[in-house]
Amino acid sequence: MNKIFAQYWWKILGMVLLCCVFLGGLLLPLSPGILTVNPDTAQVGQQELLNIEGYNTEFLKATDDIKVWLKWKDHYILADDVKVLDNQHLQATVLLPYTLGEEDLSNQTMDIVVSDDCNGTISQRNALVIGVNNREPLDIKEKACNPPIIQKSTLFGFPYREILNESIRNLFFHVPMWFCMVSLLMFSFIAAIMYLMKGDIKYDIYSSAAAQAGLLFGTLGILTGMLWANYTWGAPWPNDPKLNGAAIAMMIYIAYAILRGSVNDPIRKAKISAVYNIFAYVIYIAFIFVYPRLTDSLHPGNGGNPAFSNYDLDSSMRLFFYPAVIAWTILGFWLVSLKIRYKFALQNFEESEN
Amino acid sequence: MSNIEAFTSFKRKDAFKIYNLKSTHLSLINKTYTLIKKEALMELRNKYALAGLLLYVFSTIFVLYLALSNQGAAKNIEVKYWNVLFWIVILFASINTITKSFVHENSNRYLYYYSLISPVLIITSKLIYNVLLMLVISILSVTLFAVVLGTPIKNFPLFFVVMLLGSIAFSFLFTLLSSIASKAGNASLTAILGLPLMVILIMYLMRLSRECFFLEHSENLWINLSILCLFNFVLFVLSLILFPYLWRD
Repeated sequence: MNKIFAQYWWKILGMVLLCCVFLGGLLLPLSPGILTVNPDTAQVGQQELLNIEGYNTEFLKATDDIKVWLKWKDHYILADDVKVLDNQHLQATVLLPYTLGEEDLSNQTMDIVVSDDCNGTISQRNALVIGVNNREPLDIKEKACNPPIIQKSTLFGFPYREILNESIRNLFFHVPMWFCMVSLLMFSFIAAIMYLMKGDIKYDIYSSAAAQAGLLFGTLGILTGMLWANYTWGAPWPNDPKLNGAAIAMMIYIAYAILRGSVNDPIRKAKISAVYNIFAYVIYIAFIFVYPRLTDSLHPGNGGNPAFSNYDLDSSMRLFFYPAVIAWTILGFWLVSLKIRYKFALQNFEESEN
Repeated sequence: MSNIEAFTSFKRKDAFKIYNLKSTHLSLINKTYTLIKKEALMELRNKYALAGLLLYVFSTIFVLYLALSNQGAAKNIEVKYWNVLFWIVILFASINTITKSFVHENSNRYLYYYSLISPVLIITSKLIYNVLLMLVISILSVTLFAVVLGTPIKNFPLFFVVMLLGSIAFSFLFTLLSSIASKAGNASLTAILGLPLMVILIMYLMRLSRECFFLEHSENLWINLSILCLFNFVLFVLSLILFPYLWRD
């Protein structure tokens, strides 16, 4: 273990990856998306002029016609006329019939879909609220319309998601920090078992150093998560089982630190902290399996929410997400190796003093 | 007999019984039974500790009652608040009860036990004794709650099962932690070490006991009960595995 800790190659690899993650993850743009649709209300039996504002879009670069659809359930209405104002702005004229698929369209919300060969197919859900008519009604017949053909954007970027917007970049920081914390605590747990089996004090040093680093990464994970939750869920601490579970993990390892601090004899400290480490880790893992049964989570992949991997983690995200996991884990273990070296040095110093 | 003497001295008859544990013709069950009896005897001899515990439970619930009636909420208290208050009282009573399970005998006495029997038997007897003690405390608390705040419980057998599982979980969790704390030389560490670990446990118990207030129970009641049983089993096995390591010095 010490041999690997002393080598340089993995630290250099980790730092190169981390630099790539910071530069690429923060500087690369998002894919095109629809920011706003103005006005956000329309009326049946009317011709409506919609101003569509795009985000990171290049409408002028589109070589074929830009098409705009309004979507409700599985029915589409094609806009009659689309005018490109500039790269970010479109003007679409739509005739809204009274019924769509022989169902009344009043008081419904419609999605908007824009498609061209440069920006790809971009959409915004619930962009338009259809009100009842109180103007002079036009006689508009319902026209059957084919759904848009999905086109891929030619511009490179991270996926544009409503609500998430630019904060999707936090995926390269928040999630890998948890992965790193879990692997550090796992390392600490295994080192504690090794200590009880072999009785060598070096395993105790491994175990305590990894627990401390895990606590640091857990705190960072909570802070980045709170920042993210504040923008996407509207509160820094929504009542979510994963947040509460994370807070409990932090409390457990703070208690571990307190336990270590309250004993002076190194052998006794090593033994009782190893016992507490194993006991707490096993109970905590058991809890993590049980706890989601109590309430639903807001996190992707829980409580009916789609998992990230379903559609958000596309190839551009993967390109940075996996290196980010490796980079943050390497950073965590580098921290552990420094802590271990410090503790060994301290031990040697104390021995030479005695 | 003074308090301190009660702590440190055995009657000759008891000492003889403990010494008999060394003999091989006693079965494991017999040995465990003797150890549990020893725990109970020590608890009864040292009347102040037991009385202190009972007073703690009495006064907590009485303070709760006074505070609630001061706010005009003691009559027809809502079921969910009854449930929460009950489990919080049980939680702190269990911490108070089990914290002292390793500190009331001095370490020389443990050295003596160690020469007679395996640590697995000692931890088993402690666990079983603490479960019994916690069950008594729980039943006492529920009775007191019924007297001062009324009983919204509809399904008594289920409530008893949940209370039993809760007592087992609390005592299994806190017994090993109290032995850790006694080895660290600071009994108050039990609460610090234990509270983060029992947060989800107590939420699970509250969720389960909420079903006792209605005659119909939810469909995954049996799954939840078996998860709690499994959880208790994990705690038991962990205590048996880890205690012998703590024991040796």
